[in-house]
Formats: sequence, C-alpha cells, structure tokens
Amino acid sequence: MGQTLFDKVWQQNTVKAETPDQPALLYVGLHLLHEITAPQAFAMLEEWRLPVRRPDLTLAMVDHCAPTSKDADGRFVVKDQATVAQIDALTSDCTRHDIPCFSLDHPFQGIVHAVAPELGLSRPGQVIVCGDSHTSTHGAFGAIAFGIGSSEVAEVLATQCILQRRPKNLRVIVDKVLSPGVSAKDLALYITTKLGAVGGKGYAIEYQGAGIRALSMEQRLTLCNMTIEMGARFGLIAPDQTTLDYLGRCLLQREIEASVLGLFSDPDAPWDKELVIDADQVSPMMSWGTNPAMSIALGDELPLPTTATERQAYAYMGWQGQKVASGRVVDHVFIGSCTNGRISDLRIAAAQMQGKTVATNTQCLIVPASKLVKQQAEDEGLDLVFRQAGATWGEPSCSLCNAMNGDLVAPGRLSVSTSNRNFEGRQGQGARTVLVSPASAAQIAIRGHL
Amino acid sequence: MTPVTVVRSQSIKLLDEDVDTDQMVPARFLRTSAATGLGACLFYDRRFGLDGERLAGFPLNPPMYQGERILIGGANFGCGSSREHAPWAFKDFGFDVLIAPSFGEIFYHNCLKNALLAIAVDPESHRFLSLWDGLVTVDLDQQVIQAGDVQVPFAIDPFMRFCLMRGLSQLGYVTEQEPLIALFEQKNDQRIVPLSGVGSI
Repeated sequence: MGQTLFDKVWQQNTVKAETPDQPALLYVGLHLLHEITAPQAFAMLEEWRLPVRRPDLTLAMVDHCAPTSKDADGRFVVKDQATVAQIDALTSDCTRHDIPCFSLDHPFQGIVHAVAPELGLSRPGQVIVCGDSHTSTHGAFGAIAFGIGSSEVAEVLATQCILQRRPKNLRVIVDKVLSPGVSAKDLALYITTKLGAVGGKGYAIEYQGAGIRALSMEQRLTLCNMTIEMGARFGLIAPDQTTLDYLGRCLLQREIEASVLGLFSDPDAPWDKELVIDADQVSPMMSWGTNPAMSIALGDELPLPTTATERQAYAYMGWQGQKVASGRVVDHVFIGSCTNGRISDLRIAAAQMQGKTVATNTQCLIVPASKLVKQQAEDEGLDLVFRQAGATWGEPSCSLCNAMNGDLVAPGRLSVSTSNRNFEGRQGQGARTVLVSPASAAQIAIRGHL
Repeated sequence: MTPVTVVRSQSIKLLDEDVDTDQMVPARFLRTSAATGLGACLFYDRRFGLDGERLAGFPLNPPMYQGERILIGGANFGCGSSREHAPWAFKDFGFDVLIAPSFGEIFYHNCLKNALLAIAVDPESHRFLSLWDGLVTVDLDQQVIQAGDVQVPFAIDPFMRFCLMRGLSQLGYVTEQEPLIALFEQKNDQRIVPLSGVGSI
C-alpha cells in the first residue's frame, strides 16, 4: 500500500520509531524561536546545564511584541519595560548559545512564519517546529511543520529532536479553481466552516486538487497557516514547480534535492478522512462569531444561533436585532499578520485603495509581515497608496493579530482583520473581530462599514 | 517535577465550548519571561470586569470557587495559541486535573509536560461529571475517575503516564537518546543543511 506525503516525510526524519510504549523521536531540520515562548525554554536548559545541540539549525527573531511605530528620530517606540526585558532576554540567550537572532533593527526581522519562507529556509521534506501554533504555515512547502510549547522548545534546543505520536491522515481535495477576487483566506475560512473548529483534531491535513495546484506559494502559506483553526496542528501541500520556482527566487539560495518532486501522496495511500469541495463554490468570506469556523459568505444573512456557544458568540459580537452584517459600522481595519501580511496581500489591498480614502469613522492599520516585505512594498510605492488613503503604515510585527505590542482595539469596538483568530478579547479586552481577506478588508476600510 | 498519582477533590465546572488559550491567559500577560506566578492571570478577563471588579458569576471566583483541584471543561478546551503559560497558570492557580470531552492538541501536550493531568472523556461521562457535585477521585495508576459509585475509565499515552507517575521530565528522556541522534545525523549528513549565511547577514 502506498504512503501519504506526511508519512513519507515522517519516515525520512525518524530517529527512533514509535512503539505502543514510546512516541517517535523526529529530527528537526529547522527550529524557529521568538521572544514570547523561548526565554523559558532557555531557562530550562540552564537548569539542566545543557548546551544547544544545533545552533546552526536554529533561528530566532522578535515579532510578537515588536512595536509598529517609530519616533521622530527613527527609534522604535517600545511601550513598556517588560517588553524591553523580553527582547533583551531573547537576544542575550541567543548570543550566549551562538544562535542567529533578528532583533528589531535587523534588516530581515519580521514574523517568523513570513521570514523563514521568504529567506528560503523552510524546505520540502523537513520537520519544522516553533513555539507558535501558526507554524503549520511552513507545511505549504511539503514539510511537517507544527507548533509546540516551551517545554518542547527546550527539548529541541537540547537534542534537535521532538517526541511525537503519528497523527491520522485527512485530505481536503479542492476541485476546480477559485473565482477571480476570491483568495486562499476565503478558501481557508470556507474549509473551516465545513470541517468545524475540531474537525481536524488528531489529523495532519493535506490539501490536494486543481484548486490547490493553481494557488501561488504565498496563497498556499495562507491556507496552511489557518489549518490550526480547524483543530489540526499540521497542514501540508506536496511540492511542485510552483514550490521550486519560489525557492529559486529566495534570497538565500541552497541546493534543492532532485528527490523533492517525489514528495507526494501515492495514489493508493490510505486516508482516514476526506473532504471534497469545489473551489468555484467559494466566495469572499467573513467570520461572524468568536472562532474562525463561525463564518459565512460576505453578504449572506447572519445565521440564527442554535447552541449555547453560538448564542454567546452572537451576543459578544453584538449582532442582536440584525439580520445581516451589512451596514454595521467598522471602527478598525487591520491588514497584516502571518496569515495575510505578505507582499501579494499588500498588492491586493493597495489595488483596492488606490486613489481612495479610508472612511472617517475607521482607523486603518497596515503592517507588513517582515522588513523584506516592507522594503518591497515601499519600492513599489504601495506605502504611498496606503498613506495617501489615510491608513497607518507600520513596522513589521504581529501587531493587532495578538495585541501584545500596544496596538489595541477598545472594548466593544468592531475590528475587521486579515489575521487568523477572532477569539473573545484577542485584539483587546472586549474587542470584536471579523476575519476577512486582504481585498475585503481594504474595500471595507474605504466604505467604513460592512 | 511532582509525581501525579491520585488527586481527590470536588470539581469546578467551566463548560463553555472552544475555550481558547487567549481566554486562559490574555496576551498582555505574556510580556514576561518567567513561567511562575501566572495563576493571578488565569481567565483574567472573565474573572474581572473592565473596571477591575470581580465578577461573582464566574466559576473561578468566590463564592463558587473554593480551592477545587479538578476542573471540568467543555469541548475543545484550550484550543488556539501554543502558549504554555496556560497550563502554568492552571497549576499555579491550584489545579492538578482538567477533564473535558476534547482538548486543543498543543494545550493538551503542554499540560502533560507540567504535571497537569488533562483527561478526555466520552460525552456521556462528561455530562455525568458536569452534574456531579461530590468528591471526584482521579487515579492515574488505575486510569479511572471515581465519582460516587460511578467509575469512568480513561485513556492516556502509556509514555506520558509513565513520566507523570514518576515525576520525570521528558527532557531527561530525549537527552538519553544521544547515540541514536548522532547516528541519524551521520547517516543524513547530506539532508541536514545548516542555515549558513544567515548569521553573517
């Protein structure tokens, strides 16, 4: 019987095979660190008096609490001492252990899930881990990529290995291609509504089909990024010519193994679960509730809440008395994050905002996912389009996706966001979040209402 | 780490579905490099109102909360972010056991790494335990939850159980695999590509 892509990559990276009594030990080809979950792991190493085994396979950067604004002298505005201490902890840990670290002023700094792919560090066939749930992003290259906790970060630092039980295999077949104006973000929200917030639990999800093959590399990153919102830690796509072309354009060129194109699921591979959808059925989506599975097509009627969870979400979002979302005033628009802060996302947003202005009742914040994305956008004049429209153009950061760096939405305010989570309080205590694609976010910023 | 064997306590219920780790420890409390003292942040925005007032209706506030060590949660408990601050906060608050129909996967593993026993039970047992107000005994050795005359068996990875019962950190286990790791590196030398060039740029 054939093997799935996931199982092939698993096998290639197995140091010690799984038994009923012990999980498998997998070798990690790329370990990414950031300032929120790594310092505690370094403290565990200190406690155990262990060195970092492979600093040459490890890369750190400051992203979660990176400020989006600079003062008149071009210095970053770090809003509190705790953040300064956190950044210092990461940089000094990395210096001590000889790990490259992109801090605020580094020309390649950015969100880990944007930087590793754009530099050409995320590779097909690897195991990639990071203390961040959106590590599933890197699976777009045909890698086993997943988020881990700080204790596991310590284990990987010490041994370059991770203990894992092999998940089951789920494939999502996307037939046909997306209609013009519909993006991978819409596709991800659509699949999430079909699978539900727990439908992927216990599975690695492989995306297949004509609709996937037609996606650009950056769109594939967006789709795999959102896989965790379906309850699955892993989302992956078999490498093809699109993957190779993308890697061939990356800043750091490294040899590509010929065997990469053999990394695909065999036709007779066994699947534990399957979902088939038609891409031409997907239209621009918006979330209405407090997890991404609570989403509808833009313009559709709001669903009547039937469960306690849905009723709570409905009340939290303040939809009482409204049949449709249309017309609701929008206070904030955020375009950015590891989901939708790449150059292609910004180009799409700029095309919508060209020559127009953001509605007076709406604040629009646009944050590139990395310094390289920022530079590229400025070379193309996209920042000018945004500024002339009245939007704020920020420095690379997770920013309003997780609201850790001082960027906040006030209680009760409505934020339309290209990020990945609409959880209660995610963008600030009492803040209400509606997830959409970059094109939809830009249109809504101009209009000022849903 | 403290070994986990038997935990006996009444249980507190927080039965909402899809409780994410952002709710457990809101992001603004992650501006710390420490893993201690996080109990004060647990469910902060649900325990306290916008003006800092304590919300008496929330189960983790008095008078409802009275030092229980077992929490019965809802489905998909701990979904979302990988922040290990969430289990650290539960432990620091005083919890030793979480029982739910299902857990967010990263959160589940993070719990077991921190002597916080997360147990997934079938919906029927979950319904029963949600309504049970008496003492609950969780026995990891026997893999059973006892509530009155009712026994609910539960499954757990034997490796995790072994580590929890002996208070062993998995860091110790993985470092002992050094000879196998060295052998793998030797055999796969061509495939393991250092991030050369990154450090110098």
